Amino acid sequence: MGIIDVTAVISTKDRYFDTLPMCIASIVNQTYLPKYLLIYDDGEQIDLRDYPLYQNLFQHLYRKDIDWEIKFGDKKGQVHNHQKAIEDAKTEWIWRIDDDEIAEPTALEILVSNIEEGVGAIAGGVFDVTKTPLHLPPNTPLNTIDTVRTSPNIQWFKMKEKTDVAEHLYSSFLFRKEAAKHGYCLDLSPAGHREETLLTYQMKRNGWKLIVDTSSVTWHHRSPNGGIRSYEDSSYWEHDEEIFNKKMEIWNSELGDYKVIMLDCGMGDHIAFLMVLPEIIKKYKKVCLSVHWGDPFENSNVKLIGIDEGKKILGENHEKHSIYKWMWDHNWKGRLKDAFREMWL
Amino acid sequence: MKTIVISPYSKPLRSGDGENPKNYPWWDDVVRLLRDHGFYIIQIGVHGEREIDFHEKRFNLPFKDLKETIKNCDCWISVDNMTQHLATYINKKGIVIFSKSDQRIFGYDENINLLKDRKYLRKYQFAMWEDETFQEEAFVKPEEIIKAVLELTKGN
Repeated sequence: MGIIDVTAVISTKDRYFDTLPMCIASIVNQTYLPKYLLIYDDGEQIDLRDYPLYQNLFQHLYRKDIDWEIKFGDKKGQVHNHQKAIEDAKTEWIWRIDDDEIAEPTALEILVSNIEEGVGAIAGGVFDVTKTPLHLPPNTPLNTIDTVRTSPNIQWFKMKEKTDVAEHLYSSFLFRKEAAKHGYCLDLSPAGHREETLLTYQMKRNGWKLIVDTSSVTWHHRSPNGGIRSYEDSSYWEHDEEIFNKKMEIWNSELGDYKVIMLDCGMGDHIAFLMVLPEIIKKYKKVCLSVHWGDPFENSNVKLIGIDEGKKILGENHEKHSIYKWMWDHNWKGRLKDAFREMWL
Repeated sequence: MKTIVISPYSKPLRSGDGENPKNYPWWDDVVRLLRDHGFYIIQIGVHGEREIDFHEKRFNLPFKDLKETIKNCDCWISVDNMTQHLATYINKKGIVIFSKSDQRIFGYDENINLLKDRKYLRKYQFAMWEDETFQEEAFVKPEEIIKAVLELTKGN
């Protein structure tokens, strides 16, 4: 395996003089250094370069050849920041870490050592700093999705062996951008409850392996202020849980095994898409198209639904299905049908 | 008598105001010249569109009939609308008249793509058409279209 370039990503909110500097320091001290550090600031958005604490930290990043950047978030919550990170990161691998977490020096090195073909994401142990980490109790489900509400997350425990059968991850993990192409669920509230579960479970559903190797350790300081603890409105959590339940319902339904693609575009675009549909069916096997016109697909082996139904299933993520937005974002110069190919294959 | 299918218009702008900049301005001249060459002209489209001097109109056709109409003609001509995609999908070569949209993106090599000059292409190819102005001079002259039709139907 050659050198894998990694972008470390922190989404932060009002923890400038709390846990954020410790988190950055732990990144600086990694035995395997990320190439970039992106910090998305949803807080007061002060200029951290004005403070000696950060002046030194930024110098330290510079000494370690870590190219850093602080971006002001839109204050829509961490999910939007993490989504932005996928779009902004120049590397294929992204290591996300929370602003109240401190990684052990070997955390990233161990995560990177697990990279291999077919692996979408790798998580380590995320231990509460106020408690001694326990060994994983026997027979604990290994982060299966159907036990997400009833069983403890295995990332909270020390495991004798790593596992590649996990169905979802949480908190801090290293992931492949390609595996996160479906994006974060932008319908979630600013609290972003279940955001990692939704992102990683969809990776799993798309055929990527999720690894948990708790020899990579990150300590959770559970800062009582800032971050998602800035949000006191419990309705945020209820709202997100409802979205999660709805997603699970769809995934467990007849459409659960289908790749849903929305064509919220013109008739000509539908037909251009039709030209690459055989390749799309070959890749995804079961395809459900949310369309304005069903006629062009009459003899194709796909399930058809309307645009409104597609929007209900995809939520805010349906915007990512816009071929025109995609071509605009990618400064596309090729053929329309090839844009569809590039977008979905 | 050779049959030409013409799909003269792109869909109206959502603003409901002004001409779609993709719509060709000199259909009357094209049709007159085609008639002079003895072609039988079928206009396809939807009800409410301005009618050209056709021999026959086939509006609001079901998809499969539209396919058949295109498949069975000697040549088709369209602006940059769905017809070119459908015809290309069914491997029927024809003529597409471009103005401000880029044939390298929205066209197909299989067809004869008539673009007057790349200088007329709009800067933002994926922006809303409502933001674009209609520009008559961005289109090729009718004679060029006739030349392309004669070339394409030669020996049919």
